[in-house]
Amino acid sequence: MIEKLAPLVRPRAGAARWSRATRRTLRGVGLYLASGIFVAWALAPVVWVFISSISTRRELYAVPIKHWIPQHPTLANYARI
Amino acid sequence: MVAVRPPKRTSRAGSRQDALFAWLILLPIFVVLTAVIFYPALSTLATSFFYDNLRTPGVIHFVGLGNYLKLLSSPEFHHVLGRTVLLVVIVLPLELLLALLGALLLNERFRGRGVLRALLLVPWILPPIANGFLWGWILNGDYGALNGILYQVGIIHTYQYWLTDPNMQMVWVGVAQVWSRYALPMIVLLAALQFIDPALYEATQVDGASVWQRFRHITLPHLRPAMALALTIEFIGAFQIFDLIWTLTAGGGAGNIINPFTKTVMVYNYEVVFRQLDLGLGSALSYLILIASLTVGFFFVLRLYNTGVK
Repeated sequence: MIEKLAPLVRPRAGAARWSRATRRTLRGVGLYLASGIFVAWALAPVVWVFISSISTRRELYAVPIKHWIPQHPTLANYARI
Repeated sequence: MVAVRPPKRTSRAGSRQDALFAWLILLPIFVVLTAVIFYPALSTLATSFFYDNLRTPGVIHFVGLGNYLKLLSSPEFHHVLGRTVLLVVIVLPLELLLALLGALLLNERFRGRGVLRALLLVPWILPPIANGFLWGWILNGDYGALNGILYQVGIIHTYQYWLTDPNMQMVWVGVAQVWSRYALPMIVLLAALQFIDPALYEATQVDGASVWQRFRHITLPHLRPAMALALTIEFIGAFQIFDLIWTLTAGGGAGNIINPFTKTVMVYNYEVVFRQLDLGLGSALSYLILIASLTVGFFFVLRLYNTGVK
């Protein structure tokens, strides 16, 4: 009986293309990729402000190459506030 | 059903005393609301019908709808309104798209979802004034971070003055606004997503509905009421924007001329009241802004909230 019914059940699109394990991996990669893009968009400006806060003025005004990681991190700005 | 009986009244006098007590404890908040909301609102409405300019003290006379007609027929008001609508048209779709994508992502089950939910809220926590200074610092033409990163990646070869192009100023205001405000609609939509019965998805999955079909016919209809709420709040936020523009592009600090290229309705209102000292015209403008906000909010509720699945 089951064998007779089997051809009537159409496999869902995509279900046959990849195995269950592959689909799970793809889902994970997609989710973390999307998360990464979202976090970069949301946090980049804030992170830049934090980097600015611990940089020396000389490094901040350096052009055209910016110091994304402060060479001489300092808490002097906080101390002044 | 179990009927819950109210406690029996022993006498009519007791019930009247309760009512009196209820009014008594409502009185303080009523007084506060009257003082800080009802009175100023009504007083502004009254002022809007008068010629009342602090430059001509003592000269106050009734002009009826004169202030409203003056605004509605002034080219400057049309420009200001058009610019504000442009900002809304830039901001709302972008915000809603980001909010929807973010909400769908945060609704999935994966490790680190809680941390992600907290991190994505960070821009929203920042006060608008700080947001304006922050973007001004990033877009700075002499040593801004955007210039630095584009230069080092090789996209530009000289530093650009991003905020000096009048046509681009509203776009940058829009970017900063979207950046700082997308989180609230995202949380609203996420809350709505969590209310959708998972059985609906399971049932349609069994019936062979594709991911897109499930999104189109289950998710979207259920999100409509939340979208109405989010769009209304964000519309008001963008339409009545002031502090972000004031710190990013207005350049109006300490009595300087206010930058005409980013003058939105609220900035214009500030100019009319605090620079031209025209209280009558400013009050009329406030009420026009209020009427516009109410109309659009009403439209969103009518078209989205009432047609959604509840």
